[in-house]
Amino acid sequence: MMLKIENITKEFNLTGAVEDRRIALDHVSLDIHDGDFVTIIGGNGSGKSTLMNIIAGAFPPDSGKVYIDGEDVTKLTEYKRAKYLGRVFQDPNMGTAPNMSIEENMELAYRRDQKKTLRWGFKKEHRKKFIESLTSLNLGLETRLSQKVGLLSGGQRQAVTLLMATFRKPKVLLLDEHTAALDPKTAKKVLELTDNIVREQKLTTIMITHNMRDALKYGNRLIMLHHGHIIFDVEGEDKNKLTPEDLLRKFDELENQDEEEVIQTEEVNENKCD
Amino acid sequence: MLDTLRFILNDALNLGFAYGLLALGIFISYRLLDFADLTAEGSFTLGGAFVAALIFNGANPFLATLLSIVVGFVAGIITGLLHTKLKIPSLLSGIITMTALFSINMILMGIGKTGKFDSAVYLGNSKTIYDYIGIFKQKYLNIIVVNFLVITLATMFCYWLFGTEFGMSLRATGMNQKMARAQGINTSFMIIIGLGISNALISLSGALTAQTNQSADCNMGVGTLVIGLASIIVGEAIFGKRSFLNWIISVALGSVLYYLIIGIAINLGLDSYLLKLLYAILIIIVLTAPFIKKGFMKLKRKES
Repeated sequence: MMLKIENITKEFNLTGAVEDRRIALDHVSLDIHDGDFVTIIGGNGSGKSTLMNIIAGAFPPDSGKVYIDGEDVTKLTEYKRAKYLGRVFQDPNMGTAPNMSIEENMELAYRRDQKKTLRWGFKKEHRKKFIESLTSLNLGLETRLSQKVGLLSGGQRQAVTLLMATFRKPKVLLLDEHTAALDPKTAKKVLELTDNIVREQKLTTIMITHNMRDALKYGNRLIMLHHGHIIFDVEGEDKNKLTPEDLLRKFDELENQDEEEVIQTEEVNENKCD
Repeated sequence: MLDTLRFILNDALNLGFAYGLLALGIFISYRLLDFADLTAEGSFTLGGAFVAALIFNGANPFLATLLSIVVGFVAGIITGLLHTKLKIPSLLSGIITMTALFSINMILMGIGKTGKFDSAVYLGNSKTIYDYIGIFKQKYLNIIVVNFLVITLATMFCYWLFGTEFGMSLRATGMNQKMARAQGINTSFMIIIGLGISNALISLSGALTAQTNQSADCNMGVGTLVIGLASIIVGEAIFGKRSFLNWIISVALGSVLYYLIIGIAINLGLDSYLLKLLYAILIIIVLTAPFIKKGFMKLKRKES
């Protein structure tokens, strides 16, 4: 078991008024095996980003535990957990330091699992490796090592961030809608690159996406979140049989359920008023 | 005429080099860490008051100067802790330390005197580090040489430090904390130590200034943040920032240019009490220049 999520609950606005409280994750448990490539879908407010942030340690859960490769990391701060995790964010600006060169960014990523000492930050033998892996991207970045990352396009930045996240093999790769901010053509390129890297290194991967087709096309397991619950979890053959229409139907069903619930609660409220 | 020029140049060089340390310090907090650190106003005076108090009481001026670096470092660390551990907003953290330092500086300046505290220390004939350096007969030349040496060393130190793994991590923290944490960087630690180093340099700047003036007083730090910022901006504008080395040298030399400009302005008849107003206007112009430039370029694009 590479990643184990045990009974996680997270509520926002706990100190606020009752009607402002929002339960993002409601007793969610999830086991992800070594080498699994899981795609996660769900509407806005379904809790998928919260789940990602809790795995990454951006904030702690109210209750429950997170294990990475058997180690309880629930209490580990975000930066300490980073040695196990590769992360790519939705916003292409989030994954890199804009005013630092490609090389400097990669040097930082190369030391993700190490202490930051007073040794000189650049290494010749690293540079060779950086050029090698940049060449594999086929974006012509291998000759632009000293250029600032801020000057790259969104797609190029996501590609570099992806390299940075996987340079030192992470135990879990977290992709938080990492192609949502890109144009369709670039998004496709970055997704294919992602798939290649994941397959090559046999990375345990979690990818959030808004795109049903991508969720079905990539990965060996699909999870659907709704109102902080896992309501659908398929893998292997069962996943391959699914079509985007099946998923859309599921979404529609959920919405109808919600509307019924709203009507019911309204009725209850009216009854109270009477 | 020649005398006036020499006078301006002398001022620009000996004040400029000493304030170059201040500019480097503020460069670290404001430019690298993206932290508008008002501790500077207090730690500059702290360095001056500390060194003056020690020399006044007969301490070795070299030792006193070295120790002023340490006390500045501690002041910066306190601001860093207030911000990262107690979650006080950055601007407020600096203001708190600066305010506390005002009292501490008064206490320091009262050491060895009849009262418990004082608002100034006059060194009179006490020997400062500059009196021990006899390269030239004229003291003002020795001051320039020593300050030049110190700023050179400090610039080299900064170049080395920010090229190390630690320094890279610190710069990444200032640019993108989320990314830094995702790369395993302890961002709180970087902010705390960064502010420590920044204020250590600023305190040293105050210590050199006090010894140049043979005095320290509780208001010597007023406006230092703005002077430092102005120096950085002037340096960047004139000498550029093509590479990191180029950038820090520009910053270190910016204050010399800055004092050259001020010196000329005063000689052209600017009243010295208007200086602070001039600082403020200068900062506004330079800080808004990029936006004005952008807007201007947009207009041009529309026309074409």
